[in-house]
Amino acid sequence: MELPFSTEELTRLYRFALLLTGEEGAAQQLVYDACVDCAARLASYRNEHSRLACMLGTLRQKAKPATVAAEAPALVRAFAGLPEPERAAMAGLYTGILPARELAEALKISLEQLGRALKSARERLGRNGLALGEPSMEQAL
Amino acid sequence: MKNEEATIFMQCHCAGLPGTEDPRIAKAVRMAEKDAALQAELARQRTFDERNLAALDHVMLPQELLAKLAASQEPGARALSGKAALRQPVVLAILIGALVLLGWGGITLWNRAHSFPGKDSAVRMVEVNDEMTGAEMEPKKVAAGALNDWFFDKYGFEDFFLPGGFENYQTVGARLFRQDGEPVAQVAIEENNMIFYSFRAEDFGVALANDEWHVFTDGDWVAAVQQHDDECFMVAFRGSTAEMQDFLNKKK
Repeated sequence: MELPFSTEELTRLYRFALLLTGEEGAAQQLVYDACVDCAARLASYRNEHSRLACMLGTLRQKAKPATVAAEAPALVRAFAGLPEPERAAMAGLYTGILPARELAEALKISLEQLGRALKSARERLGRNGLALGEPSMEQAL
Repeated sequence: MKNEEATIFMQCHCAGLPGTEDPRIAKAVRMAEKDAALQAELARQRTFDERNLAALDHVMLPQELLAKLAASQEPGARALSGKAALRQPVVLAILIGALVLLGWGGITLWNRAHSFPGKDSAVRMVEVNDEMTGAEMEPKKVAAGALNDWFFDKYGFEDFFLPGGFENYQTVGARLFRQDGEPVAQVAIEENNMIFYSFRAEDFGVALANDEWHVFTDGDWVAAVQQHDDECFMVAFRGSTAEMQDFLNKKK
């Protein structure tokens, strides 16, 4: 299977999958399954954004949140507490897979709805323990 | 753009990540950087994101996943029927591309018909309104036509121009500001919260047929601009193109 993605892009997709599923094994399987699903279509797309949007949409469609272990990194645990579409919106923004406008399109919402979802997600993440002044998440991961 | 909108769109901004430069996001961030309350919120957002992004940076692509992907073989392509071929993304892309080209041609023609030299400068003058509090203007309760001498006495601006039918509107405030170093007279009108502008055409590269209105919109605002010899006049208010056309028709 030849994939038109750099290691950096695959890393971003894996991070997105991890934030959606909350578990490393499930995230790996999800990325693999999405690659298999999209492989035949990817060559037809003319630009990188369309290919990444295809992957992002498939990852989101196939993602089933796994049980998040108590020892999972704080950021992953915090994301598990986010409802959709906040979780996909925040994960999409943080992983930088697509620019905001294309991200909104891939999530099938308007840019304004994306902004509202991100606002709500940031507030929820803050309440869930990622508030400023708490220990750095770098340590947690 | 209002503060509430800026609060929403600036959420799509994530410092350090590429490609979040949609004009609405960029404008919201610029507004937030100038507004005291939003400034603090933006700073909190940036610090919050910075920490989370730093945490996410530590998540690396598992080597086993990379190896699994590399080891996989691409499944063989199946022969496609005519209908199935039409549903293929590449064929759809060509068909959509042709439609887009037709649409783009139409939009280009429409833009040419509705654009004019110096329009960007006129749009920026209108955008200034969203950033104003009203305190920038000097209170002036007179008929608009009486401001000619005031602009000359106070600012040495001798190009204040109002077309016929606009002289009797009651003003509430006026000022002269500079855009790209060139003077623009701006007058707030009591009725319908209208704003009048007057400026020299050549200062902003405006070139229009004499006394011909050109209407454009920018966000909630609709504006109409006309040139008379070397001077330009513009009227703007919150509303639609149809409302502006209706307003201008009553002036005829």
